[in-house]
Amino acid sequence: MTKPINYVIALAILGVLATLSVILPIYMDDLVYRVLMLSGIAVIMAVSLNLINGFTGQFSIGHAGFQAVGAYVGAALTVYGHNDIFGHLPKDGQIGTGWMSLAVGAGPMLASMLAGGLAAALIGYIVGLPSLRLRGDYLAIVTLGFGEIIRVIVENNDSVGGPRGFSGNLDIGVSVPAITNFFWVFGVAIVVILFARNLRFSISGLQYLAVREDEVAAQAVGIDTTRTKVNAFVIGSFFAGVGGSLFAHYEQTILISSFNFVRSFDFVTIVVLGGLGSVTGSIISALVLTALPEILRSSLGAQFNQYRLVSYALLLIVMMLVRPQGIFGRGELSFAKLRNKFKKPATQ
Amino acid sequence: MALLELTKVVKRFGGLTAVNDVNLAIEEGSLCGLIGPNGAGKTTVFNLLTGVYAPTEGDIRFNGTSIAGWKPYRISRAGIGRTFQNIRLFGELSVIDNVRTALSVNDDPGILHAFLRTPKWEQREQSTVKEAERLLELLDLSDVAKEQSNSLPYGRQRRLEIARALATRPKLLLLDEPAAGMNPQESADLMHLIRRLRDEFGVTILLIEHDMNVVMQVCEQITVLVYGQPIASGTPADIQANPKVIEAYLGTTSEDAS
Repeated sequence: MTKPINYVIALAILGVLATLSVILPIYMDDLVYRVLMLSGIAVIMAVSLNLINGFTGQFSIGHAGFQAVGAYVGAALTVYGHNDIFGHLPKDGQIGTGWMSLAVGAGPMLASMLAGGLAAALIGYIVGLPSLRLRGDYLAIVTLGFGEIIRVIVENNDSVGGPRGFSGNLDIGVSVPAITNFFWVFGVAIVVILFARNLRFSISGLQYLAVREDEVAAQAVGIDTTRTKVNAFVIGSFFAGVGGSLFAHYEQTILISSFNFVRSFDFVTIVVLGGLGSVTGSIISALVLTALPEILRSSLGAQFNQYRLVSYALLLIVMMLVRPQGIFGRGELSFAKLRNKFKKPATQ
Repeated sequence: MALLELTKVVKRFGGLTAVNDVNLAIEEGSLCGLIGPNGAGKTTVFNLLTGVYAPTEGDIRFNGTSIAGWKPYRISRAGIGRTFQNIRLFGELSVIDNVRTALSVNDDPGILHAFLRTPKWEQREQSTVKEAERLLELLDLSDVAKEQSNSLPYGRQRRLEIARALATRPKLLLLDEPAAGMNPQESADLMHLIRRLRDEFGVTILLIEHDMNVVMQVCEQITVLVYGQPIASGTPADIQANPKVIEAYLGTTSEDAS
């Protein structure tokens, strides 16, 4: 991002995102728009989980737990910070659409994402440091337990709604504001994707991959494997927290039960299906696996929901039999590769 | 002062004493061999030197500082590189990326630079590619630079391990059975290479090897380890004439007779 042309491109992308953010809610079908937003958040979650499970070869099955941390911390900030900091937002949280809403929501959204992300990262550090010093499946067990801890804490905490869910505070009359929009979801998604891709193709990223390949050899060439694993875990957790904050301010009502183990497992499914370590795989898999149930639900009716998990399991089994490395394996889909593919027959 | 000094090093695994009272000094610029029958504790010595295990007793000094109990990555950064008896490459990475990974430890500009692709990052990125290409050329691996490393034949995988170990810029290089699985031509090339590394690059080398041809031709100093204890040390000629060594490898005639 150093050449002037890159700044121009970045600005252009921001402009396009902002414009779409204003136009889409008006012209797009509500359901389609909803699926689009949820897919975008799923992409953020999947790519950030891929940093941990795919790049560094660890096995976290508590990604939804970190999303929950981000969601609750982020939403608590905009609700309880309303009177002191975000007084310009309407108390019912409906900022509407249009160019003005972008400007009104920007500050609280950024603050909330940062708070949610940092809280998740901090907890990721606390959870990760002891379990990542060890090799093997400890992280899976610890992250599984962590998800339960978060659930119990939230359910017993009335200031964030406890088991009833959190949509605001009646005493001060403030709702969780609807500040999440297309701009933020896809802006963050692009940042996460760029981050993962730039890491993947850099010498810094090679160290993460080396830890995945062989920890003993990685140590022997001077890589501090514990630090590398903790780094990946903390960064992954940070983005999960950001995703949580986006989710909270989109739904406006968050239930702790929507961040349970099953949700975590959805993210693992997405990453495994796309190919562990493949960024493009995670993106496409996240888009498909979020959109597909919605499409099936609207075409087959509500009874599809009860078969959703069955279909996921079947999908994974078929995947393991036919293509165990995931759709993209460890490879990436890139425009350069596609170009080469089409060029080759012509030159030969 | 020797580059590497082991003083009364003991390593016990429960009741088993794998390495017992080892004293060893390796001078800078020397080319040393560590030999002994199977299970003598040679690889355990390597694992002690590289921090995989911490010694139960005794001290290991490298370049004047005690490194006993250090983590492996710290020892590697301090200047001890190694290869493994059972090859441990970063299998799914390409050949050149294996070497770049080792180079990256010193040259890593950090993930923030990588994310933003700053000029510093770009310059480091290019310098590691150049350096890696140089090392691959030295080890005669340039033609397979882009290939996945675990697709290489055995002998070349061993060479790649050496290239990767060199990329950590070691003062002392530990080679664990570098000639294992190589044909005579390959091991002859290897011997030539090992000498070159010492002569041209000034790397001190300590190697474990079962191929006596290689050991006797390439090493200047040999230490023989039996049941975790050094029984002899000296030049190849001394070792070959040493009755204790012959006994350890072949047994004694008197015992066989009785």
